[in-house]
Amino acid sequence: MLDLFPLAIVNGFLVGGVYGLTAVGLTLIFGVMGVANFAQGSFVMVGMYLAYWLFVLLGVDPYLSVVPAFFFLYLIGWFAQKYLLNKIMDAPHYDQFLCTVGIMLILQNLAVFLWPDYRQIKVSYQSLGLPITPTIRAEVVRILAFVVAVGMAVGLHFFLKLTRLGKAIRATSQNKDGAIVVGVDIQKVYVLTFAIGSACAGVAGAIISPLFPVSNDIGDLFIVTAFVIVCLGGMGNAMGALVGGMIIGMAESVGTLFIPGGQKQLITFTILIVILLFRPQGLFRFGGYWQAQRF
Amino acid sequence: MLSVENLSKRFGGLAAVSRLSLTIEAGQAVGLIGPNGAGKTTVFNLITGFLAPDEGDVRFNGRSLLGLKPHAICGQGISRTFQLVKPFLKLTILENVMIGAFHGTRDTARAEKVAREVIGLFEFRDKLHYPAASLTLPERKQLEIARTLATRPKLLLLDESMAGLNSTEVDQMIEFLRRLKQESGVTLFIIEHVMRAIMSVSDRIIVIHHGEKIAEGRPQEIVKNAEVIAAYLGQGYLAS
Amino acid sequence: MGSGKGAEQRPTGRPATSAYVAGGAVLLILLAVPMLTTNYYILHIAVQMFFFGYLGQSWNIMCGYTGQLSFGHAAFFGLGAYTSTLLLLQLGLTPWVGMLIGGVLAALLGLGIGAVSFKYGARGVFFAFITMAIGEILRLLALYWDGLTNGAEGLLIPLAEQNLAMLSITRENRFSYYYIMLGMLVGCTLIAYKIKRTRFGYYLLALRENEDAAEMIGVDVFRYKLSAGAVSAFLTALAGTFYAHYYRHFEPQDVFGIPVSFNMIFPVIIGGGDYMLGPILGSIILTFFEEGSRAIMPQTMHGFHRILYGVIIVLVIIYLPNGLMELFSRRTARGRRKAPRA
Repeated sequence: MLDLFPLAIVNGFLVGGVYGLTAVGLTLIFGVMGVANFAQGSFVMVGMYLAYWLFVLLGVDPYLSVVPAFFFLYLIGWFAQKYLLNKIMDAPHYDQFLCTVGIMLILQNLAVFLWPDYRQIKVSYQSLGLPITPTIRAEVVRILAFVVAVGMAVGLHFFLKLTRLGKAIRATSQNKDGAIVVGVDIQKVYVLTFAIGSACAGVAGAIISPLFPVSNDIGDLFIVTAFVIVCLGGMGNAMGALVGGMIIGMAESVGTLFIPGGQKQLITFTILIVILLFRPQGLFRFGGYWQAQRF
Repeated sequence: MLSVENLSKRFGGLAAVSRLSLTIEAGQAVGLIGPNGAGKTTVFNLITGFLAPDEGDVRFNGRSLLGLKPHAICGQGISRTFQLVKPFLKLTILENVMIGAFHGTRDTARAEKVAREVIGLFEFRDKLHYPAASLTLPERKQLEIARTLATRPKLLLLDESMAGLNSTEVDQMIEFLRRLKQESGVTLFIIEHVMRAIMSVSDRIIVIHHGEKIAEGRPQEIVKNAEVIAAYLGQGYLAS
Repeated sequence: MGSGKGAEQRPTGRPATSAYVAGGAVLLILLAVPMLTTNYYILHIAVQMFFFGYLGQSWNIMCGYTGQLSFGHAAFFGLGAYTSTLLLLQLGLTPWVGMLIGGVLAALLGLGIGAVSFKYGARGVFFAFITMAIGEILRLLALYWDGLTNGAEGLLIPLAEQNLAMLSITRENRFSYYYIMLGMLVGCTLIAYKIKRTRFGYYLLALRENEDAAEMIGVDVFRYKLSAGAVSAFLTALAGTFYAHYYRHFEPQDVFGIPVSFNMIFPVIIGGGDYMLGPILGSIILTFFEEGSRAIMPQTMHGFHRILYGVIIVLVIIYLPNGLMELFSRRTARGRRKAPRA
């Protein structure tokens, strides 16, 4: 059992990067707009299906599908925010949350309707492995997923730090009224933020498609995991989300060694409750991009 | 009636209230003034159970209020308004005041009766069924007082109920408070910045600065007190 | 202002006599239905409507009135189902009593969750997710604690047992379930109505609007939040027992799953939680769409009605946030979203 430990850590770490990317999107939306986007998991699912169909119909490698996945989910998020959520941004928070639940229902059941069974992508290099250390071999697909995920998160970081749009987003999250006063178009910022957050999920879906079954309920797993990570890392804390993702990935992977199947979710949920009760601001002290923690 | 002994509260390194002692007799109107940040609202929060003091005691009719939650303190007969008004926005005026009235009775019909009586004292008596959200700020302040009055308090703490009112509205409020004190016998403890209001309503004024009491006495005495002038306007204004 | 003059004479919130008459008439019709038709399908649809109306109503007692949304009410539902069924199967205890025991356990759970959450100041989204996590934890416990709950296979109530227990009401006869569920719905609505008209209800509204202000005028916010939660949990658990006997077989996913929690919330969102009949209206609409799409769509296509649910929810939240009941109500609802232009 114990000799599987190092491999489990590595695998968990790598997959955790993808969980982290999903959570980064979620925490971005929450940090800027205070919206808990319950549809994030279903966005991942859409990304997975997109990658699947491109692979099956056109032979496109899933890791190249990140580009169409990014744009497709960007579009969906853009639409959702601009025509649906923007209308209710002044309503109580649970209204926005329930609206995202509605979106999730639509997307998920569209998938149930169209593709009731589950599928799997197997790329030609699926079983290829790279030696990380002399004794551990990590699968190439995991490494690629991790690299793309972290790359995207880092790209997002620089976007937010350096570009004008990025600064507008950060300003809005720190002080909405102040941002309005200096001329930031809040509605546009919301749309941009939600679109980027959704795109993160789409990319995550594409890169993880060789590793997980492409099924219509895969979104449930991702939204729960993403939410635990966001709580762990701190709502609105993007760096925390990425690191939290890796932590959860490793915890899950190691947990599978000792506890069979679904039972390890018991631990995840208990951790979630404990964090929400005793440290809702997350484990990490560094604030990420914004200090404004909205509860 | 109310006695505060050696009350202290620190936030981190900052002493918001420092060894404050004061007493209020029944039937009086006592004003609490001081420059911004002096700790006035903190005193209210300490008395009404929203904050726990680090030291000291608050006694009401002999009984200590420490450790009691705000609703229990209301049960003792103390009620307060908030500096930033907190109306029940989606409820009607009548319903807002009824919630206060329910403090004295379980029966809905009785509570409604009491509420209507209290509302009758105010200008918005024609707007019974309008939601509180439709009221202007001065009206909301009045609503807050109405709601508090419906609990039939023995001691009423008013936190800057005149902030944001224009001159005429202030006059109306002063008149209202005077009548209130006379007719219903409620003891008033008032935080205010509008000087002429507090001068004309209060029997006694307490001045605090940096969380400490620096003066106490009748309104006319306070105005001439050197320390008070220095606290508000700075040393340079002291007539030598 | 429609609510101005006429309402002055009447005590706040009490409906006009005409509403009582109409309600009575509807009730009589409903009571007569099973006598007039033996079509089990119609009875089944009616039971569905009553069932989700009931669940919506009981969920609303905690969540609509206090503003603390729970996304894990399935925890109470499943607890009711499993408790009464296990007591029946293991000890032969009649479900009429088992139902109450399940309810009490659920109420205790509700009190526990509330006490811990509110003590640590969990609000809004945080509280919602805590409740969801609890629901999932119970589901997983039911799934993996094979010895007690028979795990993934779920529990089955054999016909014989059921005859004995439910006083020889057979499953084939939807008749009695119709009346039981109708009775539960009416009872629950009456409870909700009673709460709304008494001090309990007013205090809940107050603490929903502003907890600090409510505290200061004498509302023990903590105690009232907990009470509403306990009542809601109890009532929800009763429905769990009903479900167990209506379908006679259930698995952890059927009674503890997240969709179960959401199914309780949809009628309230769509119908409107501030209205007495809102959850019932919501339930009627949702059942209509579900059965309607099932009738139109071929057997193999699942999920279509839930797509419709999603669309309706999004539309209602955006355009009619007070729920569809607002279209039917001439009176200003307590707690309207927008103030009338003064």
